[in-house]
This record gives sequence, C-alpha cells and structure tokens, in this order.
Amino acid sequence: MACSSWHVLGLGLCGRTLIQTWVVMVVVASLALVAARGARSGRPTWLQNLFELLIGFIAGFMGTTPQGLLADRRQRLLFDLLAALFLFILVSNLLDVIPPYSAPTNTLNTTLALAIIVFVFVHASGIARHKGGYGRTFLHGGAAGYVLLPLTIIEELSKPLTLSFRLFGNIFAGELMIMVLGHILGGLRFVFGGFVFQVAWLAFSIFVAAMQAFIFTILALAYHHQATADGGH
Amino acid sequence: MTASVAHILATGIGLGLAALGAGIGDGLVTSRFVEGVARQPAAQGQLMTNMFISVGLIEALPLIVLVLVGFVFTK
Repeated sequence: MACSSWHVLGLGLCGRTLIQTWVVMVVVASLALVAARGARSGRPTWLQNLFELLIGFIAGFMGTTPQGLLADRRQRLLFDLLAALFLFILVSNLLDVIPPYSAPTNTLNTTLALAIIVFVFVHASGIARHKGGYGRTFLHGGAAGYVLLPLTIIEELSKPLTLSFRLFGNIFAGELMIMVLGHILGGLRFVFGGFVFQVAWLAFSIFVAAMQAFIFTILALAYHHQATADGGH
Repeated sequence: MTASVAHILATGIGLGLAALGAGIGDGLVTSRFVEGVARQPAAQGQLMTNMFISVGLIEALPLIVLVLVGFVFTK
C-alpha cells in the first residue's frame, strides 16, 4: 500500500493518508460552517437544508427529533459522535472519486482508528450507564451466561475488527477495481471512451461510499444501544 | 507443484469461495426483499433500507477474505 512514511518525533506516520485526512477535515468543517452561518429560518439555504436533512436522519435513527436532542446531554454526545463519523466517512470515501486524491479510509490505519474510537465510546458509555455492574451485563441468559462468556468476549472483540475491516475492504477493493479495470484495456482506456468501465465502477463506488458510511454509523448506534440498554440482549 | 503454483491456486480458490458466499447471501436477502414488496408495496422504503444495511453487512466477510487472500497472504 502506497504509504510514504514521514518520521516525526521517532514515529513513522503515513504521509499521504494524513494529508487526505486533513483535506477531508477542511471540507467537512468549511461546509458545516457555511451551512450554520448562512442559516435562515423560514427560507432555508441549500446547504442548510442538506445538513438539516442529515441531522433529522440521524436523530430519527436514534429514536428522537432534532428538537429532542437539544434537551438531553447524553443523547447529544452520542449524536455528535454519529454525525461526525457519518460525515467524515462519507466525505473520505467520496474523495476517492477525484483522481489526484485517494480516500484516507483505504488503509487500515484510518478505519481501525475509527473503530477503536467507537469501541472506547461504547464501553465507556456502558460503564457510565451500569457503573460497577457492567461486567455482569455480559452474562446473557442466566446460568448459561458463564458458559457462553468466552464466546461473548470474542464477539465483543470482533466488533471493532469487523467494523474496521468492512470499511477498509470495501474502499480498498473499490480503488483496486478502478485500477484493474484500467489495466484490462491498457492504453485504450484513454481514447474512444475506453474508460467507460472505470466510470461505471466509479458510479458504483459513490453508492458504496454512502452505504458504508451509513452502515458504520448504524452499527455504532446499535453497539451503543446494546451496551447501555437495560434488560435483554 | 511449486510454491508459486500453490499460491495461485490458493488465491483462485479463496477468491472464488468469497464471491460465492457474497452472491448467495445477497441473493437470499434480495429475494426476500422483492417478496416482501410484492406482499406490501407500501413497505418498500423501510424494506429497502434494511436490504441495503443487510447487503453491506453480509458483504463484509467476503470482502475481508478478498483483501486477505489477494494481498496479505500472497505477499
């Protein structure tokens, strides 16, 4: 994987990925700022409408409304994380479409970091909710819970793993397909519309980008719900 | 059978099995989705959302296999 490493303070950093991440951060932050500053009530601007749609969408999956979010601080924290994840992953994956850029999520570095953030947040929320009895929530189903405990622990550890690998695999394989579809035709891909296969795959990649961002966010919400809900598994 | 021939065979079989798994899984989900929409067309929006979530989840493991077999284990 193309990763020109920088050496900063004794650590090796992946330079290209870092720069792509900064580009994504600048895009998301500037879009959000422009949307918020130019917000009008009654005649929403285009960008404001887009962000309101997004906020309503995520709030709907949390089972509340944007107005309800303003009241509850803990819900607000969860919403902040979900909205940040969704926007970051969506813009990162979409950055892949523009030729000089590549998605920062095409390396396990970025996706594993995101999955670890979700993992830490979920378990910290669970501990905050259940305090000392958090370990007991892993014993599902009465007496058989002790027998199943190793499996439950493995399942809990596999969650950040599959979360990171799913996103990484989708984006990396997508990028690779773009390259492979070019190599099939060789030099012909530059003339006579020989690039139509790559373009078709790019269109599918845009759909996959949005879908993977959505799935990552939904799974983060589901894991958080599992960790903080009282009662059944 | 030399080591490189074994590598190529292993890659081919691994990728083929991954594609098989993804195809069958997605086919099952989509067929149930179409059946559900045929029974109740009004539920199409909600069912389609669930279908896309399921496809994304199901395709995760074949994609993991693809990445591992294609790029990690062949070096």
